[in-house]
Amino acid sequence: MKQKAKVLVVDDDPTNRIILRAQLEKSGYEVVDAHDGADAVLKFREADPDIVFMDVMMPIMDGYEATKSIREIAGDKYVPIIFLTALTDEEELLKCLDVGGDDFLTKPVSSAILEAELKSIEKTRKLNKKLKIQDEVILRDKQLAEELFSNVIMADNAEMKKLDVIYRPARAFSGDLLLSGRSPSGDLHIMLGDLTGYGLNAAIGALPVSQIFNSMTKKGYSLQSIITEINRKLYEILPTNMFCAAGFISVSSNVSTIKVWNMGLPDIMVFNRNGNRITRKFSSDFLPLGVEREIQKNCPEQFSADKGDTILMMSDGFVGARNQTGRMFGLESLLQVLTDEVADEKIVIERLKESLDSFIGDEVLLDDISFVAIPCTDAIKGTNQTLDARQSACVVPFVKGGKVKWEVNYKFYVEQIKNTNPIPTIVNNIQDMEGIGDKGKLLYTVLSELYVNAVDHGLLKIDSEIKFANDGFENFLRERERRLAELKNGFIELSIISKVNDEGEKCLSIRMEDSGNGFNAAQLNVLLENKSGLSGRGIPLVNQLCKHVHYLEKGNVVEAVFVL
Amino acid sequence: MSIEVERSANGEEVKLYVSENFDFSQHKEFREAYRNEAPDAKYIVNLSNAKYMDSSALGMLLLLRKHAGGDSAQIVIEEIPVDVRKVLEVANFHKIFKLK
Repeated sequence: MKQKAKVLVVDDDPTNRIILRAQLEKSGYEVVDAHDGADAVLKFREADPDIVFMDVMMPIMDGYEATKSIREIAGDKYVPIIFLTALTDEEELLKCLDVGGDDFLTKPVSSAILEAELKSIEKTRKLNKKLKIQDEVILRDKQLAEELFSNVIMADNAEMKKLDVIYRPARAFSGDLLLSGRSPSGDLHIMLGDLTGYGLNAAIGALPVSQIFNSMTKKGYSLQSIITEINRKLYEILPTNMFCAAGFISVSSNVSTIKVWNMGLPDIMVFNRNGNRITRKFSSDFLPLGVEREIQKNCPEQFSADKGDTILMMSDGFVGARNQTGRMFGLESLLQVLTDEVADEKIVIERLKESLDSFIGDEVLLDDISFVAIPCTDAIKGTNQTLDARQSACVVPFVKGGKVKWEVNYKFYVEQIKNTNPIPTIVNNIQDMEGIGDKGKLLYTVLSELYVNAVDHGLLKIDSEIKFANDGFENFLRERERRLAELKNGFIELSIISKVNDEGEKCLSIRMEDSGNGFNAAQLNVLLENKSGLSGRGIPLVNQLCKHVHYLEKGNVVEAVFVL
Repeated sequence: MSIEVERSANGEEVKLYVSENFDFSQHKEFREAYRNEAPDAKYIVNLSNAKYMDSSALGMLLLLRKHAGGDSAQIVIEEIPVDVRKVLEVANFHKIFKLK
């Protein structure tokens, strides 16, 4: 990099040019000269100088005209133009600055004054260079943030297409992210997050959030476990002053049960199209993610979806969007559009978009605006992959004996049972060990159903009849939560043996035992044989997915064989 | 100065007065205001002048909380205007700060 700059000296008087050139060269500058304005423009193009000394009165083209042209050619590049003038008239001097000059020196210029001027120019040039580099860094960060955001974070978001989404990013990505995913059992998980900070800052937090959300959803973890994990990760990586406000919604595969977690977002609402009004509101009830190591309380709000329900979730950029007059868009405007008499859901969202866009107008957005509407209709029903894939599983008859590859025993006690479902981790391990790919989803269903059965009916002794009464499922879940909280002792023991049976098939023998009282095993086995008359969908499903299911002892032990 | 500090004679109580816009522009001053105070002092953040508060201000409160001992911090936020209170409540900060 050159230390001293290239200077263009413009003067029609050769003596002046020679004197100035000598002074500048003595200070180490490279000098190019021009004898009039037109020549200056030409030389400026050719030599691309860093500084220009410009005489005012010259033949052909004067200094003012030349400066205007040079400014146009230079564009964004910072090139100081210093006028050298014998003029003393104030107006003429001011004109030098008007046409784009940076300063003027009165002729004759003493070498001391010239030195001082050059020092000042060098200082400004240095600052300018620094600023330019910083600008480039900022621009690069911004591009990187946007790239990260669109390639990594928003990818893998297929379920979002089924929802109605309004997303208006601020000029710099400001931390809103919308994620969605389908668990193996067909549940829909949705997250709207609002990270503090802007640009790359915010994108850095968004990256692990989306990765945890997507991978854990795919592996079949409950949304509750996912939230716990995201919180822990953000607490670890984010600086103290950064966090992520978020809302989570889980929709059961048959769109009947909805769970809502609001951790710092504006109210999440349920709008009922038939009643044409807001029927439920879920206010923020948790600290945002990443504030505390452990989430103090982690039980969601829960409700059964009614016909015509749409769940609305938004970031505070949505309600806080301001127009030129500083007025906020607010909830009133939202409600106005919603309750307008329009039959079609899609049209409502289109109108909401129009209404929001015309409200904001040309105003620069300071915060991302995100809004998601989740219609509780068949459109978002889970395609139960486990059922689709069923035909390919387990058609060969059960065979005893064979060669054992490995076996594993787990015993879960109350503390574990209350806190987390261990099945996803176990299935992951088996998946890794056996390389069974998609079959893992089926295995997950089998183990989960058996495990949940052992907890609900074995340890908690809940009668499954309760599910089929009016409001049954909701009551069932409430009862389950209550009994689980009160559970003092008990265990569930799970043994899995991997073997190759005598026909060369790889299979898993599964045995699940709970410390409950059991029930009529003989009767249950008859029902299993006949494949009918069983309540719920759990055990019949396991029966379909496995080659062999059998209840033992007093009904508190079940054995199943799953072909890999 | 947009942040004013009031210390009790024995230095056990530190009161921070925040000015109109409690946002990132006050970040540095807010931090300077408590940086050299004892972590086990009793901190009071007075918001009577605050008209507006954003998420970076929430972050600044979290930094103060960390300085004052994290989970064991005793921080009171007082004289909170209605709009500002909403911001604090949506973030559920009443669970980790004492709002008066």
